[in-house]
Amino acid sequence: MQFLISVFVLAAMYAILGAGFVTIYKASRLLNFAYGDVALVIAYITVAFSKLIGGPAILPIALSLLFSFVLGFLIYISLIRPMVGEFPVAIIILTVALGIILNSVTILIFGGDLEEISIGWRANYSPSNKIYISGVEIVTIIVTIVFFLILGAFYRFSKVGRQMRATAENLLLSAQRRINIFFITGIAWGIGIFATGVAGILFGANYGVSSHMGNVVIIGLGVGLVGGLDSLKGVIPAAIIISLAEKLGSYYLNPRLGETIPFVIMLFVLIFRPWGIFGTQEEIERV
Amino acid sequence: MFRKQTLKKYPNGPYMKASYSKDMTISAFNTPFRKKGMVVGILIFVLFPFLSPPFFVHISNLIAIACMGGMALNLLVGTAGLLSLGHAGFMCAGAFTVGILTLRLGVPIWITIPATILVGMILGFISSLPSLRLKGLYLAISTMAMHYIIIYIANEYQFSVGYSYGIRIADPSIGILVLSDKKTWYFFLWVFVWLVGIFIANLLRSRPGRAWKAICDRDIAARVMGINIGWYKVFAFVVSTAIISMSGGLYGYYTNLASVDEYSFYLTVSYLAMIIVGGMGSILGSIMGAFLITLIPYLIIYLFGFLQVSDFLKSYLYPLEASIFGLLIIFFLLVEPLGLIEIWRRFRTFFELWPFKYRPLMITKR
Repeated sequence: MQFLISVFVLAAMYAILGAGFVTIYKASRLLNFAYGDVALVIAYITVAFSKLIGGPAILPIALSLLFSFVLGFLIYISLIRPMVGEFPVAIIILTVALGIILNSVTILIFGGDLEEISIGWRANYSPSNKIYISGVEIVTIIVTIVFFLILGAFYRFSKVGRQMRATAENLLLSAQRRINIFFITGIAWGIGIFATGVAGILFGANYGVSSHMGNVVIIGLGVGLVGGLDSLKGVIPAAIIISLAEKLGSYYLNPRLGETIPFVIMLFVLIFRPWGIFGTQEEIERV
Repeated sequence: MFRKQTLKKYPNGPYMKASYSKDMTISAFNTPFRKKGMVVGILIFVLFPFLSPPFFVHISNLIAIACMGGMALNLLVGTAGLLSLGHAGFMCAGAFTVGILTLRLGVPIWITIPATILVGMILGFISSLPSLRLKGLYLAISTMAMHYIIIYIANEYQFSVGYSYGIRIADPSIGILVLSDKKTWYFFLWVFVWLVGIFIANLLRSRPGRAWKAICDRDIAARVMGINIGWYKVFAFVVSTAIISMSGGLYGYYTNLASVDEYSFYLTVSYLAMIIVGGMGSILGSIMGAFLITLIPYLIIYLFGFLQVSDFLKSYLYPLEASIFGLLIIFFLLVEPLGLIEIWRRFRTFFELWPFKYRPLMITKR
């Protein structure tokens, strides 16, 4: 039971990370390899804000989430937008370079020490014997459910969400129907980085913030891949599969193996079913 | 007058080839200037280790290893258009192959280097399997996954053997010659670079190279022309990864150490920086990039010493260096996507045609 709780908490965070990848992929057919480093930046900024502002924890977190949205939009406008039409390889290398810059700038500014994000609820509960669940873990799961509900509603009901779906389906046709595709894609990048920010803060609250956080966050890529890079609903089962495999591996086989198992799963998925569980097959079978 | 002389020198103009066999030659030393340049270059190459301080020889050895890796990565990323983010992992595999073989079996160098090539081929084959039906984006993921898996296995081995700092590798010996001196290594490594360069140039001018270029530009058209896309993609991966793994093995021998900590994702980024700064799909470009990127850390240290910076800033050398690499990549991708080689080509063309303004037939790769 305790094991299952830890799996679900991890799966919740992975699901948000995967949602970020999927949002960006759906909108621009790109993967953001700067993902882990963006999460690192936002987690450290949250730490800095909460030291600077103090008071209730919700205020610095809200500020840094706003910052993450703006950051995503700016990354798209300033770096990805000028590269439209280049080889995807070049754009991927660009995001890798962006990642290393963000990582090193974060270490330069914040020092890269182990920090902790406090969400202001430190209680521990034990509903029955041998089961412990902390406030942070409850918050993680609630935040994930709320996040997915809001994201789904946004995609389904709002005007921008509808335009976003149209852009994901066919770029050219939606441009002809007077959708501002660059603005829409920028918003999608904003949402993607926003999701990273949420996940980064949750990671920081659960396990602490350190300069190695990026290595963990990049597993979210595997989550997006296993679920299918263009399907949002595949993210949750994929997150549960990956976190279950990771926890099983680290409990029963080798504690250091845990962080590697997602990559093994990624490799197998890529070889045998590259479109993932729920992804559309013809989307990538165009070679 | 000038025109007549030029015509005498180059009967078909500097960029035009009259026959197919001329087009196929490796045209490194085809002009008088280049022939003279080659003589001077060989003189400098031979005399350099005897005239310069040993530290410079050490740096040039590092450049030699970077040249090998850069050329191999450029073959894969620049020519064949298949992105690989697993460079550090493949180098790590080579270094650990050498480490394990020398530690357990005490095998000499002329067995371990082929062994690293074999290991690289196997790893390249595995990571190329997704490329049979997928393109760039997914390949980046699969090679990155390979990187983390290799690093994990190497780390496990390092822990199980009990060397926390890494496996020590003894100096190799060929016959009676023991490769321990920096000068000996200098000649050894640069001969290897030369061999690898000739090998890759040969591949590029013959059928595989042309097939890779066709696949990179438009794979459907390449398929229509009768190129077996899957086979050539796997072939590109196998060749490139074998050379990368060999360079990793040589690096392990050179530093006498195989340690996981050196082969982080950051190393991959620095190699990517090399080929982007140098120029995608060009051998000379990867060599230029290797020189620049390997020298940058030392230039920063020199600048720090020159500017008398505080110790506080000195402790942040590593992130500073990484951010400079990242900025270089982004700058070149946005401003000059063809890299240093394109700047050099423009410069050369300007002087070759100096009195005239018009451009000859130029083959710009795009």
